Amino acid sequence: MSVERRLREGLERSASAVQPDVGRRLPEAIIRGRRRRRARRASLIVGAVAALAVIGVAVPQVSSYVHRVQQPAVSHRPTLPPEPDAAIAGSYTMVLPASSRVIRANGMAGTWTLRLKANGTMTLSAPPSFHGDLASIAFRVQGGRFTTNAFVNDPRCANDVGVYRWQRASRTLVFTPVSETCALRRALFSAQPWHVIR
Amino acid sequence: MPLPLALRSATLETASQAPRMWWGPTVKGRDSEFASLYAAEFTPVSRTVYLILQDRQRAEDITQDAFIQLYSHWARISRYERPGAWVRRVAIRLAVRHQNRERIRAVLEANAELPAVPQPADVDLLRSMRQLPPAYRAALVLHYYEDWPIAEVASVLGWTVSATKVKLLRARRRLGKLLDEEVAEDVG
Repeated sequence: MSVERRLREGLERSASAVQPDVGRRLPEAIIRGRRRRRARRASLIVGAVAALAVIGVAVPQVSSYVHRVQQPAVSHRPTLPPEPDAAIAGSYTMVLPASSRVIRANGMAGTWTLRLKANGTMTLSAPPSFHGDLASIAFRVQGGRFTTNAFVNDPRCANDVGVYRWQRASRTLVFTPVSETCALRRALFSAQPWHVIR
Repeated sequence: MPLPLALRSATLETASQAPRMWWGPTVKGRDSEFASLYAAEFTPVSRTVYLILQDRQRAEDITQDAFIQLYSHWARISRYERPGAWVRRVAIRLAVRHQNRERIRAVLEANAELPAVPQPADVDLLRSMRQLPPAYRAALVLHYYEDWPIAEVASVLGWTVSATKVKLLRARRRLGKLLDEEVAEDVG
């Protein structure tokens, strides 16, 4: 007899001897099948709820992130709300000597004019040798503290404001640095007393 | 144990006519269709699985697991043209996977005596088949007992057609030696 024939006949004969109790097993299959279906549905529901929760949390954050990314870059330049102070408002001048490397390197030596307006804006007039940008500058006075963002358009001074104590006498205005990281500002404001023009 | 007449006659075709089953009023609607399929397919599927595992109790348990999977997906699978084919493939895959997991034990058992084999069985054939790897055994059962074409055997076992042919030939040669029988070189 060939193996093929032996396989066909032998397997058929061996299999025919298996007679499972189908009647006993069917209810069990249905009960366990229902349990499994419920478990699968429950896991689907849990998964869906988790997905919704993730969407609920993630979408606003992503949206907020995208919104932030799409917004034009916000300048970190310090801005100062105007806080007029009549006591300091006025026009001042000062001749800055070429007494330090910073002053010489930046062409700051010469006559400067400072105008502090009551609305908190200020203007600086520089000697012709200075080529920095002095637009959009402001100051704020709180008690004896004078805070300014002068030289804000210079990259070396753009990220911080300078804080000074100020003292006004009858003809002079003196600034003493309290907190200052900008060498240009420190040199301008604290090197010499400012003289009152009017 | 002989099946009740109603159970033996239950087929998928008659399921739609709501045949009177022995389990009667507790099985209704979709469960009734499932029950009809179960009645028609459980025994043949468990026989196929038995020939692969050569353990009647495990064969019935694995067949039961396959039908439980079928039930839990019944809403979808019942729309298939041949839900019976689906459950059969699941059962065969579960059986081969089970045998692979138990490979070490199978090696140890290969030379041991067969567990109580229901008669009339070809004990020598079954004992020789136990010497083969589980997937080879499955291929032989599917091709020579289930009469599946080579392509379908290859599909369910995850092999190529040519690999299936080669493995079937090797399996038959091995059996030929063990049983001292002739082996034809062509498959099918």
